[in-house]
Amino acid sequence: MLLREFVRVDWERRRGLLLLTSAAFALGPVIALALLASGRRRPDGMNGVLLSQNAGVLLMGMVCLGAMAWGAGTWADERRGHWIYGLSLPLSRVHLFGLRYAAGLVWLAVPLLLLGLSAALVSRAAELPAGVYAYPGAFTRWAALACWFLYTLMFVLAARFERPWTSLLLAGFTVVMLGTLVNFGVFPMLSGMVEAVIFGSASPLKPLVDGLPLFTF
Amino acid sequence: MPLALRARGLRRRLGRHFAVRDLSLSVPAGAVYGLLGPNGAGKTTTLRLLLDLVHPEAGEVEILGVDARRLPAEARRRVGYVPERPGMPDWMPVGRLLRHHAVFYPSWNADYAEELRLRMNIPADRAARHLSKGQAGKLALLLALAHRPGLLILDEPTDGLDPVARRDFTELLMEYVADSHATVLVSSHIIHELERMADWIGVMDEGAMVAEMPLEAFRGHIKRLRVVPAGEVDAAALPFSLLSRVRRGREELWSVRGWEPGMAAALEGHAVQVREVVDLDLEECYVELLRNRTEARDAAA
Repeated sequence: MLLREFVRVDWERRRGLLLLTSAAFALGPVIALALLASGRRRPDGMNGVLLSQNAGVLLMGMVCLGAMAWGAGTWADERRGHWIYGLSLPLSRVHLFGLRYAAGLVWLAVPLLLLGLSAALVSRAAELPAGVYAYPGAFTRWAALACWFLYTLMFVLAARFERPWTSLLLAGFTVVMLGTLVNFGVFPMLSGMVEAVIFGSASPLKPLVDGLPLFTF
Repeated sequence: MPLALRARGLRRRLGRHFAVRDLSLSVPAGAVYGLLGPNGAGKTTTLRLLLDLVHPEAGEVEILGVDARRLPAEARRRVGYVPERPGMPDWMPVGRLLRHHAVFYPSWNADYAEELRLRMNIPADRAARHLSKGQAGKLALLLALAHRPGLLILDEPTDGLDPVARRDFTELLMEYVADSHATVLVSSHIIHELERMADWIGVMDEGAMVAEMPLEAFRGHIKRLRVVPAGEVDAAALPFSLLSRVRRGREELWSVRGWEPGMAAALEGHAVQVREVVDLDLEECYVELLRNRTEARDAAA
C-alpha cells in the first residue's frame, strides 16, 4: 500500500524524466545499429565497426547518465521542504528511505526493460559484418548492474548532500588527483591497492568496469 | 496529574553550542500548553526533538504513553504536527495531497477532512503552492487534525497570517480541542493569542526551560510593586526574586518573581512599604522574566 503510493507519487512528480529516459534507452540500440550501417556504406572507407563502437560507448554513457539523473532527483521534495514533511510522517527513517529507494527502482526497471527488448530486437534484425558480434544479453545485464549501482550512489548522495552532482564531481576530482599521485609513484603501495580494489578479479566494481558495448569485435 | 507528553533531559548541540540543554517538559493531558521564548531560544528544535525529526543526544520522550525515542513512528501516528514551515509536496493539488497524507494514517477520517476543507474554503484542485499564506496555514492544520490525534504540536502556526486568518485558525483549533479533548503544545510569539487559549505556560531561554507552570500561577507569580524603601534594601534577603528595579523619585517600581499574597506585611520588616501590587498580563510577565535573565547574563559577561 505504502510502496504503491510512493510509486504513484514518483510517476506524478517525475514522469517527464522517466519518459525521456525510457525513450532514450529504447532508441539507443537502434541508433547504434544505424551508425554501424552508415559506417559500412561510407565511401571514405571509414570503419563502420569503429563508428558503432563509439556509438556503443555513447549508449553506455547514456545508460549511466539516465540512472544517475533518476537517483539524483529522488529527494527533491524532501529537500524543498527541508525534510520536515517527510520525516514527520509516521514512518521510521529506514522505512521511509526503503520505500523511496524501492519506488525509484520500480520505475528504473521500465527503461531497462525497454533497453533489453530493443537490444534483443535490433541484434536479431541486424545483418552484422564479418567479425562483429552483438551481445544483447551481456549488454543488458551490464546496463542493469550499472543502473542499480549508479542509482544507489546518487540516491545516497542526494540524501546526504544538497547538490549531489557537485559532490560527485568533487569526489571524481579527488580520485583523479589521487590517481595522479599514485601514478607518479608517490604512494606505490597505495597504487597496488587501488588497482586491486577497482580492477582486481575480486573487485565488486569489476563487472561495471568490464562493461561491454552492444556491438563489438 | 496524567501527562500527554513528558520529556526529560533532552539535549542537542548545534555546532559548538547547545540548542537545547537538559530540557524537561511536562504537558498535562487535556491542557493547552504555550511554549514561549525569544528567537533562538530553542523552541523549534525542542518540538523537532520531541518528534524525533532531529535526534537528541540525550534524554527521553514519552508521547501519550509511547516511548518516542524507541518507537518514533508509533508516537508520530498519534500526533498532529503543524511545523513552522509546512514543507509538504506543494506541487500536488490539495485533493491529491489529502489522499496522499491519508495513506500514512490508519485513523484518517476522509469525511472530516472534506468537511474541514470546505469550511476552510480551500479549493481541492489548486496546487498547494498556489494557495494564499492563510489557506496554506489552514491546510497544514487540516493535515494535522484529520486523523483525529490525541496530541497536537504546533510550531508558530499563525506566524505571518493576517488577523482574520489567525482568528479562523484559532477557532478551528479550539473547536477541535473542545470536541476531542486533545492536548495541545503550541509555540508562538503572539503572546496575547496564547493568553486566550493556553492554560499552561513554559518559557524557554538559551535552550533551557526557565519556567513551567499553569498560566494563572505564572501570572500570579510575577508582579509589579510600587514601593517606598526607607533605606538600603538587601535584595538577597527579600522573600522573592527581584527581577528589575526602577527608581521614580521617592518611590521604586519593582518587578518580582515568587510573589505570594501576604508578603506585603512581611516587607515591612525589610523597611519597605508597599503602596500598590500591580497585576501583569502574560506578555509583561514574560518580558520581565526574560529581561532579568538578559541583564544577569550581560552583567556576568
